[in-house]
Amino acid sequence: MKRKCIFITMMPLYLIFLSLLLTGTAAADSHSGFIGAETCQECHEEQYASYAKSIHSRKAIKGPASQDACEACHGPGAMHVEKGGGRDVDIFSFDSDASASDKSSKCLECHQKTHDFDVWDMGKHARNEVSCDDCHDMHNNASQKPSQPEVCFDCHRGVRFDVSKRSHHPILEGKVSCSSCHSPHGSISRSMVKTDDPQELCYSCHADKRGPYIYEHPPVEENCMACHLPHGSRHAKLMAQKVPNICQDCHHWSRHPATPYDGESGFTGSGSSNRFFGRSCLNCHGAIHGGNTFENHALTR
Amino acid sequence: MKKRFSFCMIASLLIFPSGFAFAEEDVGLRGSVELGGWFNDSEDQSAKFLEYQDPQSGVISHFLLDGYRDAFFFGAEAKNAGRDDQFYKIKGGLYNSFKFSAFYDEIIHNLSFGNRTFYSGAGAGSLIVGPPNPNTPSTWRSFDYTIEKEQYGTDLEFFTGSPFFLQLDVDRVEKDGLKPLGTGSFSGAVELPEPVDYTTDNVMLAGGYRSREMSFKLSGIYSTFSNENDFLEWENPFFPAMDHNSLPQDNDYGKLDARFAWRQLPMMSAWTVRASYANLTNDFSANDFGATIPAGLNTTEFEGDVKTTKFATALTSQPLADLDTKIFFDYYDRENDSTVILYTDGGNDTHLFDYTKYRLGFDAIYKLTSNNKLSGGYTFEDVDRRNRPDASENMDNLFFVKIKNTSLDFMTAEAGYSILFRETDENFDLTGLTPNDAEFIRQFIQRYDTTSKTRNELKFAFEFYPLSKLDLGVEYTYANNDYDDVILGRTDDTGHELYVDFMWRVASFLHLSGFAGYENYESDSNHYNHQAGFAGQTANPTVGDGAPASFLWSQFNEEDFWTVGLAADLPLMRDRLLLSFSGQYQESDGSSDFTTNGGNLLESIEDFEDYSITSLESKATYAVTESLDVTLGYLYGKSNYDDLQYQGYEYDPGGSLLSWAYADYDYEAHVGYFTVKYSF
Repeated sequence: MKRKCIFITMMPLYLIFLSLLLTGTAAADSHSGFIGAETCQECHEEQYASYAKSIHSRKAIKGPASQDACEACHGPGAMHVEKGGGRDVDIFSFDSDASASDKSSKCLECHQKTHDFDVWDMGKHARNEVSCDDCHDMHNNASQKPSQPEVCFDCHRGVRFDVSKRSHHPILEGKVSCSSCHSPHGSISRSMVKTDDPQELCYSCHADKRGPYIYEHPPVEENCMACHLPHGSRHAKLMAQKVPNICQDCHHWSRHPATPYDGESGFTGSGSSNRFFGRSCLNCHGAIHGGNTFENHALTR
Repeated sequence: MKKRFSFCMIASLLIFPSGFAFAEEDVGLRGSVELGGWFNDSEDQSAKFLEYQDPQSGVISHFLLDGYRDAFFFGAEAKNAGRDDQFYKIKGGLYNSFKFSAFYDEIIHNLSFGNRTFYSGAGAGSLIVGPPNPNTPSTWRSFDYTIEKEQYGTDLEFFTGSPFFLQLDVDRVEKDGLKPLGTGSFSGAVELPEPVDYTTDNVMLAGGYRSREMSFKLSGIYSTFSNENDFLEWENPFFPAMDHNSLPQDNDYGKLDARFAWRQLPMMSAWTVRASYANLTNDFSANDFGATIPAGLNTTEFEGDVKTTKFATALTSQPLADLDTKIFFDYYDRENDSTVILYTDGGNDTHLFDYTKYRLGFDAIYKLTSNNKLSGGYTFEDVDRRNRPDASENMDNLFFVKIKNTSLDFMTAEAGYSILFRETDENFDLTGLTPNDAEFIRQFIQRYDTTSKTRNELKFAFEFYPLSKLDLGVEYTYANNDYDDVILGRTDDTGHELYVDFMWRVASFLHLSGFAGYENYESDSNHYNHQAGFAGQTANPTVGDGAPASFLWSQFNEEDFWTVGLAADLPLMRDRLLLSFSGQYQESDGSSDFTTNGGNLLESIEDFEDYSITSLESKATYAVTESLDVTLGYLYGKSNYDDLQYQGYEYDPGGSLLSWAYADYDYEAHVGYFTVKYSF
C-alpha cells in the first residue's frame, strides 16, 4: 500500500520532468506574400462581412484579427491575387479537396492550447477525418458553436432515431446536449465519453444511484448499459428490453423468477399475476439498483 | 426560493451591461428579447406529452445578450423565464486572462399524471393508510408523479491566455418530487409515492499546463449527495404494522485525477497517460430506520467504502505517411471495503462485489490510395470479478476491419465488420448441494451481460450527392449475439437497423429535409419453471424430474420499430416571411411467443409495447422590421399505447394496491403559441 502511494506521488513529478525534456520550441514564421484583409474583401465581400461580425475579427484578442486576418487561416494571398484568384489557386480553402487534418491544423494553431484539446489527436473524430469545419461554421454571424444535436446527427444517424423514441433523455428538449456526455474534441474513453468510464458519467447526474449498497445488484456496479440504452429506447426507463423479460433473462431462481408470464397474465387474463401486470417485477422489487435495509437481499426494501 | 432566484437572475442580466460605456471603438452589443404566450389544451392529459417541459399554459419569455468591449466580453441568456423549465446563464471575462459563467437550470420530469393513493402524507417520510379506504380506489387521493430538478452553479477559469490554467466549477443539484416505489410482501404488492428530496453538491478544481507540445492537468472532484428521507415508513395495508423501505442514502464521493499528453513526438506521435483514484463512502445504522432490528445480525452499523483506481494510456503515431496507428491500455479496479453484513443463519449475508478489468489493443488506418482507406484493429479485455461466481472471469477478443471509399464525386461508401469472442469462466461452490436445493440451479444460469458469446456486427454506410444541393445518406447495421453455452438465459439476439436521411435545397424558397428508419430486434431465451424441493421438483433443468409442475419453456420476442420525419422551410419572402413545417410519425410493434414442455400451452402476447406517436409543428415567422419578428406556431401530438401489462388497469387487482404509475401514455394534444421578438 505504501509503495502504491509513493508510486502515485512520484508518477506526476516524473511525467512533468519527462515532458520538459520532450518540449521543443516552435519555429519562427516567415512573413511574406501577405496582402491584408482589405484586398480579400474586394472579391469575397460576403465572407468578409460574416468574418467581421465573428469573434475571429476581434483585434483585442489573440486570433486572426491580431495576426493576418483572413490569411491567418487561408495562408498568404499574394500569389492567389497575382493569378487572378479562383478556388484553390494558391490559397488554402476549407473545401472537400483539403484533407481533414490540414483543415484542423489551421484551427489548432491557436486552439491546440485551449480547453478540451489535450487528446484531439487520438480521438475518434480526428482519426476518422472529421475536421473542425465539419461541425463549426467559421463564417457565421451569430456563433461559431455548432448547434447540437443536429450537427451530431449528420453523422450519427442511429442516435437521431433513438432520441426520438418514447423513452429518452431530454436531448431534443434541449436540456441535455451531446457534449453533456461526450467529448467531441477528443477522449481516450470508449465512445469518447467525458469521464473515464460510463458508470462515472451516469452517476454524475444520478448520484442517488451510486451507493455504496449493503445488497448490490452486480450489473449495476459494472455497467449501467447492461440494462439501459442511454440514447433512447422503445421501452420505459431507457430499458434495453421490457420488464419482466430483461429480468428473467438472468433470474431463474426457484418459484416466481422462473415462472412464465404469458398472454393470460395481465389484469384481465385467466392467470392474472402481480409479477406481470403494471410494472411487473418492479411492483415489488423497488430497490433494483441496490438495497440498504439490513435484512432483505431481494431488493424489495 | 424559485421566485427570488429568478428575480436576482433577471436583475443581474439587466444590471450587468449597464456598467459598460459603449462609446469605445472595439465595442459590440447584440441580443434579443422575446415575449409571448403558450396555450396547451392538454395540461393534465398525459405526462408523456411534454415529458420534460412545463405543460401549463402561460407566458413565455426569452432573453439573449452578447457584448464585448476590447478584450472584455459578457453575455446573458434566459429561456422560459418563470416556468418550470426555465434556464438562465450569465457569462463574462477578459480574453486570454479569465472567464466565468453562472447558471440556473430547471428541468421538470413529468413521470405520470392522474395517479391515486389511499395513503396520507405523500411527499413525506411516513405514509399512513386512509382515509380513504384501500378497498375503494374511486375514493383515493389524486396526485402526480413529477420530479423537478434545479441545478445552479458557477464555472471559473483563470490564466486562459497563458500556458498555465486554473479551473473551479461549483454547482448544486436539487431534486424534489414524487416517484413510484414498488414494494410489498407475500400478502401483495403496494405501489407507494416515494418522496424525492435530494441535494447534490459538486466542486471541481483543476489546474495544469498546456502548450502545443504537451499538457498536463491535475484535478480533484468532491461531491456529496444527501437525501432528506433516508427511509420511507409506510403502514402496511394488509396487516397492522409499520414497514420500512430504504431510500438512497447520503454519500460522499472524491476523486483525484492526473492527465498528461505529449504531442509532436517522433513519427508525428501523440502520447497520453491518465490515472485517477476515487473513493465513495457512506455510513448509516439499522437503528436509523426505526424498524425492528433483525435477529442474528452481526452489526447494526454499515460503512460503505468503494475505491476505484484507473489508469489509461494511448499512443497514436504515423510511422508511414499513409499509416495512422494507435495502441492503448486501460486498467480499472473496483475495491469494495464496505461492512460485511452477516447473519447467524447466513440467509441475508452480503457478498461484496468488486472487480478488476484491463483492456489493451491496437488499431491502424491505412490509406490504400488517396480515396481508399482500410482500417482494422484488435482489442483484448479481461474482467476478473469477486463474488460473481457465474462470471468470475471473462476474456474478450475483438477484431474489426473497415474500408472507406471516397473516389466518386457523387458518393462515399463505408463498410465495416467486427467479431467478438467472449470466453467466461464460472466458479461455483456447489459443495453439499443436491438438486433439491434451490442454489443447485446456479450452475445452469448464464447471464447475457457476461456469459460466453460470439458477436458479429456488419455495417454499411453510404452518402450520395446526386445533385449539387441534395445530400442523401443510407446506413444499415446488422448485429447478432450468439450466447454459445447457455442452458438457462438469453440464447440469441439479433438486430437490424436501416436509416435513411436527406437534405435538399430544392429552390431558394424551399428547403426540405427528412429521415426514415426501420429497426427489427429479436431475442430468444430458455427458462425452467420449478420450485426446488417442493413436490418432487428439482433444480436441475437437464434431467426430467417427473414432477408435472416443473418444465422447460422458451420465449421469442420480436420488436419492429419504424419512423419517418419530414421538415420543410419556406422562406417565401426573403428576410421577411419564413414558414416552417415538420412532422414525425413513429410506430412500434412487438410480440412475444412461447414454447413449453409443460402441460398447458402458453398464450402469445400480441400487445407487447405497441405504440404510435404523431407529432406535427408548423410555424410562421414574419419580420415586421429588421429588428422585430412575430412568430405564430402550432404543435400537435398524438400517442396511442397498447401493452398487455396495462390493459384493463385496476388499482387493486388480486390483493395488490397500485397507483396508476406510468399508465397514462395516450394523449391527443394541441398547443398554440405566439411570440414577439425584438433584436438589437
